[in-house]
Amino acid sequence: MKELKDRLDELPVDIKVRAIDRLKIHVMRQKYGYFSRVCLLFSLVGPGILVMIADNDAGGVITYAQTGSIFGLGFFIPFMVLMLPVAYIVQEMTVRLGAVTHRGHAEMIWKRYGKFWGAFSLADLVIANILTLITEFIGITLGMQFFGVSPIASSIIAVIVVFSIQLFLRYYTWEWISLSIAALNLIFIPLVFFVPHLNWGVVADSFKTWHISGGISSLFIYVVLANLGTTIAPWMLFFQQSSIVDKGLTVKDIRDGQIDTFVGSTFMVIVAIAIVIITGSVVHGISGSSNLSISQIMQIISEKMGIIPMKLFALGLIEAGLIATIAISASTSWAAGEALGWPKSINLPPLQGWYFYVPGLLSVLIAGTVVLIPNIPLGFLNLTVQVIASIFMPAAMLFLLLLLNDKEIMGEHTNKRWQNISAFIIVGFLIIMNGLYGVTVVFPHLFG
Amino acid sequence: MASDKKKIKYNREDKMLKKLNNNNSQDGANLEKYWENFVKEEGLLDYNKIPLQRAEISGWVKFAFWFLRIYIVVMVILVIIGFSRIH
Repeated sequence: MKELKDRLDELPVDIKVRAIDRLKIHVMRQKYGYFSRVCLLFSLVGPGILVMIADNDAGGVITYAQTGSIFGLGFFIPFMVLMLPVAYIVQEMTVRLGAVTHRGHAEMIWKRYGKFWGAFSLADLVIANILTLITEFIGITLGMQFFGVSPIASSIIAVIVVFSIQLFLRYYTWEWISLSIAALNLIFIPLVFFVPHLNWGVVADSFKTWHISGGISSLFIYVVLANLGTTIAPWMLFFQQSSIVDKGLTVKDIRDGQIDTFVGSTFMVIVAIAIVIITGSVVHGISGSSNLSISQIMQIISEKMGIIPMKLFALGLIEAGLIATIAISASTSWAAGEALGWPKSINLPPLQGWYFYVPGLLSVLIAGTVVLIPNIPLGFLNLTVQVIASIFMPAAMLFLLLLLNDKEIMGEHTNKRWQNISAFIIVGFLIIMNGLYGVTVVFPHLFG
Repeated sequence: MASDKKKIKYNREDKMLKKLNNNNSQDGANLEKYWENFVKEEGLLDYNKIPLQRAEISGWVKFAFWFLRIYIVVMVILVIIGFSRIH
């Protein structure tokens, strides 16, 4: 026993903490029976659920709410269901890549494809992450206003909470606390039952008709792209792969990682559909519903559903911003550490691994400060986030596909033919939609 | 206070190691013997110190990279046009 302890002590501090967690998994694996199997699954899930729920971030909640208020109960409900396999196929690849290589996405791009593409990916990710974090803080401060908290106070509280979670917890505890916060994202689901006179028949019919209210227009393309952008974002690839590596998942755990990702995708889609149903039923159809801000939408929710559902919606918005801030800042820290060859683990004590935490926490601090600037151009900011993500996503997907087809590093875990075909269809659709959106920017009246 | 925390932490490790030693299964009982294998299988290594060879860019991969470069240039041009229309 002493010898084993001595051997653990020989490991670097972050790897030692991971080794202890992995020893527990090792012990669990020796046991047989359904209960032990369930316990093992519960110990291994986390990164997939976390990434998918964090993907329903403040920007995502606002996008879904506006989608429902513009297009009602129609095309976007079955479209969201379609997003489940899209999210699963993309994120599942990061599970295998992380479990097989034990390296993060940024490190793989940097080392396999050179400094240029490595630096391009890192710079793109960091810029997109900072801009996205600003939108998360907008969501947090906006949501807190409905509880009478000033933007300055809510921004400071959010920064302190995120700093504490990132700095002082080991990976295992960090993951469980993050998952507990993420569970609040499900608050949107029971809210559906507060919708007055909700016609479930119309919801069911949307799967038959795929009706697009107002037909195909540049607004429709923009909303499709925005929803696609909230379903698969570059930071998600980096986050889940690094999370898998930091948690210490190996090839033996791929199956559990896949279950984790599927469960997460399912939660993500159910929450998204719930938000579209709420605003599609309550807000869609009233005058000016195609051009409402989230505050106006919440005002209408308050009038039609009551003050408590509106407050719960605001709580969901705060949670969405907070969990995404935790996940996105972690992805920035991991990516910087991976690219620059630093030790990179949430298991690192703050004093020993301060340089690992700095990039992520600095981005949180920037976002928390910028959001307090009066009259911040929110529309311009959202557009910039969208544009950077649109340029970066096909590039990030291409690297993912190249790595997943690389026999030298993936061995028997390379993509199967159906996985490649599905991924190429997703990248192709993304490129076509980006191209169409680009064309509508140059020729705004092309689709009416 | 700090020593208490340390004690708690050590207790957690000790408890786990004790559990591991009491495990009658072959791998659990012989983990000390198979430690090197366990470390390797679980990837408990400092991967910063393990070099990763650069991928060979040839065939369809070369084509994919050229497509990516063109795509980025086209998107950047569209972005510039889009932003110039905003201001």
